[in-house]
Amino acid sequence: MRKKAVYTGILLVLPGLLGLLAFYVIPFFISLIYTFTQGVVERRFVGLENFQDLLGNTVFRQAVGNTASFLAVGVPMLLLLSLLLSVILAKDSFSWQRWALLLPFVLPASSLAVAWRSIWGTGGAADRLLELLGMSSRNLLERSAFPLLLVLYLLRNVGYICIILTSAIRSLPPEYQESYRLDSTSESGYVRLILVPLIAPTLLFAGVVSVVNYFLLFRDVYMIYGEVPPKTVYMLQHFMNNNFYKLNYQRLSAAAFLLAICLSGLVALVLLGQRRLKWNVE
Amino acid sequence: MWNRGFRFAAQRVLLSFVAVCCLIPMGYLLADSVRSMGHLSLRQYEDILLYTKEFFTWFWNSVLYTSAILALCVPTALLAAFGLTQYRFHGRNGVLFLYTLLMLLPFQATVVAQHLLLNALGLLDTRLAIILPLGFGAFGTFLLTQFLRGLDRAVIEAAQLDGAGWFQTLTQIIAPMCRPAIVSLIVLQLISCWSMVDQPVVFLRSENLLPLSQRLSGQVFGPSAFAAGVLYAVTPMLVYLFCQKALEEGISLSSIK
Repeated sequence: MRKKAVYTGILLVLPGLLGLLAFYVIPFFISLIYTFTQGVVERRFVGLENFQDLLGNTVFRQAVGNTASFLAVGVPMLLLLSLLLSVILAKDSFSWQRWALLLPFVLPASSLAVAWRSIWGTGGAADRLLELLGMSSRNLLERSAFPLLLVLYLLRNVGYICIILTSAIRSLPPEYQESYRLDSTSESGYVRLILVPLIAPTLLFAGVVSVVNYFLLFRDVYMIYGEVPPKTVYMLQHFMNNNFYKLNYQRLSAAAFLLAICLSGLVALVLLGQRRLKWNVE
Repeated sequence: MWNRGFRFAAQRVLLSFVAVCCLIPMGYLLADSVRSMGHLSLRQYEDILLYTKEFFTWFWNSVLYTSAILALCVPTALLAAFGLTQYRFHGRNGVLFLYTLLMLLPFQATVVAQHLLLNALGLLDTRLAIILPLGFGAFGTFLLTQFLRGLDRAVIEAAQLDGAGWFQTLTQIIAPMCRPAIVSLIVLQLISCWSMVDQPVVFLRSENLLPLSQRLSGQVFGPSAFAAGVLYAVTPMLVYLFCQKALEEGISLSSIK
């Protein structure tokens, strides 16, 4: 009976799991062949040569540099803003505000891009506003690509992260806040000293989601700028697309391998770390 | 007391300010779509709906991809989540970890592997190149597993004591219980498939296979792009209007606390 149940369980998981293995896991390991070899007809093992080539590539460095600086600024900003809004959101129902906050997440990248170009592009709303203020119009969409993308990133993700954080805050027992109130009226103190440590595992997960969602921003960048974006917002995906066109699989798979390793490492660390955080709180 | 009331008012203002910022892009798009040559008119909509055949080809492609992916993802995810939560077997935790990891990995990390496989199978530049990888994505299984974990096992055990087999348990007990989570999954998947750009850019070449989400860039629709953008946003907006709760529940369910 028990044995039979085990087989049933495995059989149920199998259709989905086989698809997952076939389309994600196994091809990933096959792509490793390209990562460590050179040559098309006669493959020879070259060790880390492809990585050396990749790391020496200035375009790749540009893409990695952009990613790093975007994440360094964007993720803390997004988490702070979302935390601030979530503390407020948890106090009342705020129905229209909640609806509005998640709207940019729902909109297709393509529709959002049309609006974005029309707001910030040449002769757009921002230009006209600058002219009214007596400043010369400038091509904001190209020249301020990086900060504008940061704004877009915040808009697109703030509602999503707020939902995660608000539900964590709401699940805290109200006695915590009541007893803190007896000692102090400072709300920022409560948030810093009580609330943040309590929802730390959720915050950590929200951080991972924020990092991962940066990569989703490629959709928006592609829809706004097309195949050739301004240098400051050139992303890893652009680099990869370029190498797809050039059929440079060695360089491509080395880049994908590095990305997969870095992100899997981060995710694994957080998942394991979360377990520890939970232990500490309980 | 006065102080606290003042603080709450200030917080409300801040929240409302950010919320308004979130409304601006869509509001601006709507306003631009009902203007033509500086006048108020529905010319753009007329142009798109009556004279642009490609709009419907690409729109239909989006519908097709989204529904095919959902048709593949929901049943396999339900089966797998049922197996993972209700049965104990070796390697179960490993599988769960794999799903969590793959759910979080962005497309960029697996694009090369997918491309190699699709190339080897001769599926590049076909509809299946979009449908199969996304249909077998990890998100669905992850979401339903999270939901089923929180359910009371007593009901299921009672059913099995009464002699229900796995199929009966699944269709008569698990599936009805999972309804809210399945709705959340459908809403979230629909929103993400509806704005796919990355996959078609890499896997498709033929113009007649592209989803509309990739065609709104550049000058394809000329001065009527605003109306096209609004029309394309209608589907997810309607879904959001009617399923806001399901969407919010799906999001908080997909976070690991």
